[in-house]
Amino acid sequence: MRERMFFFTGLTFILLSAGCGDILDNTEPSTAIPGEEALATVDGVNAVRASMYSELHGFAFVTRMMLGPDALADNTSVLPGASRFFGLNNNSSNNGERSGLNDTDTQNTYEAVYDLIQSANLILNEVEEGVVDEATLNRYRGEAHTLRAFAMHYLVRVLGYEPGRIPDSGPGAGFDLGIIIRTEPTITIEDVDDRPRSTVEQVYEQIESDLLAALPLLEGQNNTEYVTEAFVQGLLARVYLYWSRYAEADSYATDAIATSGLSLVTDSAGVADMFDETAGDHPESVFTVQVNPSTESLGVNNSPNVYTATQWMAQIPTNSLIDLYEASDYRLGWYAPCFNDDEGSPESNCTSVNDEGWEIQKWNGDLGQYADNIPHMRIAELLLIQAEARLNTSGISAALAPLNNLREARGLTALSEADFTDNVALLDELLDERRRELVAEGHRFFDLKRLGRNIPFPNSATKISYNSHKILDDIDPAEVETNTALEQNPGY
Amino acid sequence: MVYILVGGGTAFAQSGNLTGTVTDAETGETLPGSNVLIVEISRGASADTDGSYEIRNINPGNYTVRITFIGYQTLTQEVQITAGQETVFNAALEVGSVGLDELIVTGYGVESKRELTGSISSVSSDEFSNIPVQNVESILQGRAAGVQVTTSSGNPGGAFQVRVRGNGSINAASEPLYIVDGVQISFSNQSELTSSSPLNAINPNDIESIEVLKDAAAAAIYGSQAASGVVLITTKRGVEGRTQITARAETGLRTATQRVGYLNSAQWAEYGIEAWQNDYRYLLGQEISREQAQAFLINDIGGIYGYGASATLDDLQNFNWQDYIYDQGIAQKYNISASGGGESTTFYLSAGLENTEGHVFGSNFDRYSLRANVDHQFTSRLQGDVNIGLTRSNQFGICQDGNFINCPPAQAMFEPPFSFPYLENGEYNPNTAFGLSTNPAVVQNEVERQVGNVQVLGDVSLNYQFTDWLNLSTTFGLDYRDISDERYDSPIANPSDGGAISRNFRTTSNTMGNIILSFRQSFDEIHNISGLAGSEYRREFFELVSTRGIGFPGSLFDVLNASATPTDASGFNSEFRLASYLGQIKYNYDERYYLAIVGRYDGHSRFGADTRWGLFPSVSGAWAVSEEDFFNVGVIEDLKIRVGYGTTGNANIGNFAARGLFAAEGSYIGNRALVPDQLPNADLGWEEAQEINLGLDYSLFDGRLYGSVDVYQRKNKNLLLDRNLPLDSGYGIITENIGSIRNRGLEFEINSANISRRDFAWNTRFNVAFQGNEILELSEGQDRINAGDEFQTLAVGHPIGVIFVPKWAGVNPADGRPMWYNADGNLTYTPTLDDYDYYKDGVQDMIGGLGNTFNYKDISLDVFFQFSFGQWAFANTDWYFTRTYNMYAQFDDMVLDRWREPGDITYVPRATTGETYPGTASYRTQLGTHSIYNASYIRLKSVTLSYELPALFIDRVGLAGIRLYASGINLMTWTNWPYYDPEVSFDTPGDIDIYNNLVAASYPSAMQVNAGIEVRF
Repeated sequence: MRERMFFFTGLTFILLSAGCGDILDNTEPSTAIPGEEALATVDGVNAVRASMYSELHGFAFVTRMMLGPDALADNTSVLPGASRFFGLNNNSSNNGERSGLNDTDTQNTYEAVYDLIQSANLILNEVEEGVVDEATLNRYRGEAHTLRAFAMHYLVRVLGYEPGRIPDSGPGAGFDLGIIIRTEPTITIEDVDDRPRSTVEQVYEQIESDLLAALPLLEGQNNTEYVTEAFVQGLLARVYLYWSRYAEADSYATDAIATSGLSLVTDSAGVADMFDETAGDHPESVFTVQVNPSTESLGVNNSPNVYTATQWMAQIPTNSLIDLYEASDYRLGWYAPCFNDDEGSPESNCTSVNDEGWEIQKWNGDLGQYADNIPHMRIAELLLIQAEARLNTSGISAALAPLNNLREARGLTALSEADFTDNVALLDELLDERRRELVAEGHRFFDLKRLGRNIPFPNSATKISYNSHKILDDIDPAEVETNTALEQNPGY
Repeated sequence: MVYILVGGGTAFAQSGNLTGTVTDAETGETLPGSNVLIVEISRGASADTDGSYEIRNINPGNYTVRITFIGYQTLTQEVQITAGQETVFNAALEVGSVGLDELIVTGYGVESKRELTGSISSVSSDEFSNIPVQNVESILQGRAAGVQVTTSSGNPGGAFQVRVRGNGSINAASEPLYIVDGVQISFSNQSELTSSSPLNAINPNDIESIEVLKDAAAAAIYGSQAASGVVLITTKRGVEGRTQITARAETGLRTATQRVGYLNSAQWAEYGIEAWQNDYRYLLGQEISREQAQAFLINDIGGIYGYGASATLDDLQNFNWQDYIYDQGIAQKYNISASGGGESTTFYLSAGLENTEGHVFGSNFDRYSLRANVDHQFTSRLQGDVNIGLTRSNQFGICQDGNFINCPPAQAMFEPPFSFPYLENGEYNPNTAFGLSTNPAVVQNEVERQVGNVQVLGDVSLNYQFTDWLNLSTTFGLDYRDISDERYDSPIANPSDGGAISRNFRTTSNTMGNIILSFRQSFDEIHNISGLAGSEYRREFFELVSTRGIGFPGSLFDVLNASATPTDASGFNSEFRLASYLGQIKYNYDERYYLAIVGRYDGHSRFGADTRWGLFPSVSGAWAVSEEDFFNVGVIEDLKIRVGYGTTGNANIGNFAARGLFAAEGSYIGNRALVPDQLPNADLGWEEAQEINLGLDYSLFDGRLYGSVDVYQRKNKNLLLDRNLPLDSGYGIITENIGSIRNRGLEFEINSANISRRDFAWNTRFNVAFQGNEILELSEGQDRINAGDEFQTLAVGHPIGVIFVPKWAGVNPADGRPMWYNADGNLTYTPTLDDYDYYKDGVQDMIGGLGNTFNYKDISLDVFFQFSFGQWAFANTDWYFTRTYNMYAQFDDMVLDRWREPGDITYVPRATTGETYPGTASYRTQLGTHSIYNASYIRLKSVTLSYELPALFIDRVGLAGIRLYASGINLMTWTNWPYYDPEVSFDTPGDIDIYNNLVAASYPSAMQVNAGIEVRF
């Protein structure tokens, strides 16, 4: 009897297993969702919006963006034995190629930029009707326009000449290409095409149109944890400055300051603590990327503060920078004797980079776990844009007003027209002021490049001549191989 | 001589029994341990210490009984079983080799080698029972032709890389499918804390045999999981009769196999002084005195290593870091097993305890294992068995595989002789190469990396025999694994977090069930037909929970509760399901002409709905030439020609690789971010391996020389290849079925009984495989992937793992600068990518093993060599930190041959304090043919000596036997590889290395010596 039972049990099992095909359908990933579901729900739309901001936590948009341009120019330099950004400091690397600002190491800048643009394109094109209310959707779209423009400007500065600054001799003569413009998201493999680079003029126009589209969508937004109206205006000002459209630069910088409602910090302690999150939100920033130390920090290997202040002591301020400060400058509060927080001991080797043995403490891991919030535009920069724009539109005296405004807030005396023989002298002073104020915030290399100047070593010898092909970074050769329509930069 | 008697018995009413004794035909001595098998129903028994055997409850009918014993020719006999009767079959075996009658476990059955039409390599427990190994992979190394086994880590319990007939995949490379007593083992969700073999759960002591199904004909029955080969592991079963208890105890020592010569402090200082003088001379055009150079040197060394600026060269210590890091470990191993049973129930019970210390710091492997294999005959038709293995292992792993400043194998290269672990007052030296927290002594004492693994591996099966030719069986198998990782860094090792602990918990539940109907029938005594049909279902579900906490009050506690700040709590799960139908028909005509058709139809949840199901068929045949009447060659006993062709599949991609996905990655102000992660690809399907195999099995000189020859070609098509997408699309890759790879090779297995005398026997076993790998096709219009990468370029027409570097031209005798050749063959100091060319590769072209066993009376000696030729590789850490200048790390004594003055002709450039020779590429980072070394080797893999105490003595103390044995592993290595270990495989947890041409600070293999005693009751 039980033998027969066994036989029938066996038969039943065979029949059951014949239905296996259905069983196979019922597996689902635990930490991902199918694409078609992502933008059809409120949670999905919120999460895709968050992915734009989350991209700003990556190495390319944090450490490389903030410290790379200083390391590639004359503001910071490595300690002997340290390797982080050694390639940028020395403009050298393996295989005859230098590691530049469009590097693939740690995080590929190019990839990070287009990942952000893909998220922005999804928000701009793919959110289904009625999933989120109109006011919210408008705001998200304004943010998407702005961040797409922000990302494009980052990359086009690295890979292309500024409009109007294209050299007419040398390896880059007449080279007018910028970057690839993508304003539609990739949904299926059919959307993936080999696309050529647009000209810098076209890219700047796209950036401008994105920012102008964002302005009305973000009217009244002033929470600096997200993209604010003032940030859009400030970004417009910055872009016009690079574009040599000075009147618009001045006008939008002025708007941005007014819209932000923020003003300069004017006391010594306040300036020194400006970047210390434990002392409160950044008082001068119109848009500050927030970093949750537990989960969003770049950690002991890749955070900006481990490069400059807490551990690896790789990027140390140079004499050429420190010598620019007067003793009364409140901004000396951003510097302190080198101290390795990991080992809990002073770092004596810093004297090999600057006489004082200082480190720079804008990035100091104050949030814990090597985390710092990332301010992307400050009132001080807006004043400096105003000054530079006015120098070009209206001359020295007009330029001095915003510059002196900043200087006085930093404990310095005002400068007068008599201090400058010509516009160039004031422009030089403005560049020095930008070094003093904006060190380690991602400006130095670009400030020189956008003005057609050579890039110096800290000892003022020329590191990269503006006429050298190396003033533009290369595109990863693998990318050029993949995208057959993509033209490499000259000289590579 | 055969005697068949029929007598009364106590069998079940409807069935009969088979009993008898197995003896040596010449001497009449009994042959304990010989195997008796009733072929048709795959039931068998081993002869007990008296040489007698018994198989009960056999359905009446005519059966083929086959009796085998190592060193003897096989005996095959037709036997009739009568209901209610006991059939006595006494067998006398002739000396000779088993040859083609050796029994082989195949997919879902057992066959004699004579019947095989596919290619299978088999290793029986006799070959490894005395060798102290932790897992199956180490047993296979060198013992199965065409199975390449490379030690990934010398950590006790560490992983191996196993390749059956080369690697045919780029992104879906996998280890072979391992099956233990019918249960498919999961390799998913392994600990990432240290290198660990997923097969540690199986105590080698419990293994009866290991079979490797190599070609498609043999493996197609496992369909979509078989493209990387299938390894069948069979554990020991109980034998009816008096209970036999075997207890073993052994102990041993593990040390490093090889050391590397590094400069001592004085030699280092000499180099440094020269370097400063050189740099002033050649970079600045100034001459500086020895004293000045020495001052610069002391300034640097003093600053970094804590000697202070006023130190002198005499103050520098000369510490031997190799001795400190590569120490020795002690191993202990105890096993006890019992085998026996009555007429309806037999059992094999075993318990094992092992504690093996590694030769690096606290690395350690301990294991408690239990196994119970029970067979029960319910009725004459219904038989069941249950096999359960329970294992608890604990591995203390060290950081390894990479240039990480906290990994001891890398630290042996980072720390120069003037660095040292402890200050005079006994405190940790804070001035080691990378500071206090990475002082090797801190890593040794203040960091714990424990991997605990509890595994249940078992199955229950029932077998119902309708008649003597038709059988229904069902098996339910479970492979359940619970891995808990603990990583603790005390506040000294991790001062910035104030100490940290991570605890990860991984559970993997891998379940399977099948039901198989099989038959075996003969017609007219010449038409033999057998086959099976069935279905199988497998589901693997795994889960990972990770936690982390930081901030500890001193080194007192190492539990999460004591941490000040919890910083991570995350979880993840995933699964796949696999449904299959399988079938097989085998026919032979008069044991002369063989034909087999095998197929499996698999459905896998990983693939798109359109491509989910795949059919994997094979057809194979054989011709036993020696059975033909016309064949009459005296020396040839058996000769069989095999040919097989078939397709197997590979589904080793992510569980959800076919779907368009947004991944939960990153966040912003409390909102989880969803990131576009993967484009949908509904057409994604299997990688297919099409293989043709030609084989020859032979047995010469009365079976004294036997073996096989196989030649194969396997083409893996529809590779699961990542096609690069332009990054501006927002995606980097899409996985598609494109490209193909070819592996082909030639394998020889030769076994010989050179001398078979009563008192002295000498047997040899040898196998060698020649193998080649070539990429035939990549994406359309693409001839290279990772173009320009020195070690990961994948190029059509070249093997996976080809190396791409410029050619080295030596050192300029005039000024000591390094030189290369450019593409035109002229000298250059600055090679560019255009000057690079393909050079060597990481493929082991020739692999194999040679074993000799000598038996003299009660003494047995086994000497086994294993070898690998043709692999070239780059030792990353050794190169960057010991062969070229890096801020005051170790220096290989090779630099003693450096260029010193104009006219010197040498291969090592002049000393320098940095990387840069003006106008010259960096000798350190500009690799070339000179950076690549040959990793070929021959290893004296194992030597075993054992002595069986005389029976006279044993009888007096009332035991069944005592054996003393001693063994050694990796005793000698012959190689030109200049570093620690020529076994180059850079597999790291969860990441299979397909290139095998680069290694970075792996845990080198250990040399081991062991001694043990076996007592049998």
